[in-house]
Amino acid sequence: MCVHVEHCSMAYCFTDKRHRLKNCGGSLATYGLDQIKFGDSMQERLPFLEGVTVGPGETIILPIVALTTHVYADVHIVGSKTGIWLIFLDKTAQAKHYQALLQEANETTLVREQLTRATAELEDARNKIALLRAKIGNLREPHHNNNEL
Amino acid sequence: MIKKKICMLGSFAVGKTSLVQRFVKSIFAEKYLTTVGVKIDKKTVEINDKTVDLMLWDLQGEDEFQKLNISYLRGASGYFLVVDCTRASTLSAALKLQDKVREVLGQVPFLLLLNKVDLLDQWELDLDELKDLEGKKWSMLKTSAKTGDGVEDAFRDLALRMLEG
Repeated sequence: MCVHVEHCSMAYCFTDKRHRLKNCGGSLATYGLDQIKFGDSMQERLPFLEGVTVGPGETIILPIVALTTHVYADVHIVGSKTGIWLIFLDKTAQAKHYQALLQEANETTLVREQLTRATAELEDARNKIALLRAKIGNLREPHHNNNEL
Repeated sequence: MIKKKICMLGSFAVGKTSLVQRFVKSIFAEKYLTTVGVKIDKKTVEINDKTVDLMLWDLQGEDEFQKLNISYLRGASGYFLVVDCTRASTLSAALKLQDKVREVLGQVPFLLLLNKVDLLDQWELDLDELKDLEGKKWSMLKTSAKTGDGVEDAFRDLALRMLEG
């Protein structure tokens, strides 16, 4: 589990306001960013930057972003006067563990919902059978009375 | 190049990922695999002689324990509310979600997708409730990520609304 930043394969990029790379460092390869060059458009490489505008001093945290390299990362986007800082923290292990738990929980919920539906249908069928039995009983009763007469 | 961000929203297991996969890659997987966090895909479409890059944010489904992280919504030009037509609870969840999203994004275009219409015999949605929503000028489309019915139309429809908006 990633508890400390040094265990999260941290990487960072700094871009200008047009999202052109100005500086970078850390474990860039983890996030498929090892081939980037200064001046590259980071928006082309990182689709999550689309539509995101961050003011100076403002921070946006995008948790568990699935990157193209099959890595999940928490992405911190921090605005400055001259551009934005992007900080990547590897959350692949946590995301996969969480996914396994969530998969089981969701599947259980779906089965429970199906069971609830099936129980309701069964109850409905039982009620219909009880009604039919009552009707049959009513039909038999006058006949029985006639016999008595 | 015009770029537009679209968010896929709805309860878990309604078919958000399957709709994106059908639209982007023309594929469908029978096995349900839950999404964690967010996965972003891109597809370029031509709308009224304009080339538009649609950035599709496939978000983790909502449940009673895991609520929508609103930072994912930032910068979205439109969104889909996806409902599983075989599970009535997913419609009420979508309505609650829409209230929350409207607070964050304001009045941006959205479509209600009634997904899994290939399972029409298991339909569970309240038709009166859907009529009420139509009365409120909600736009809705029936889709099936499995057969592909309505999927292309849904994305193109929302893209057009975003361009007009």
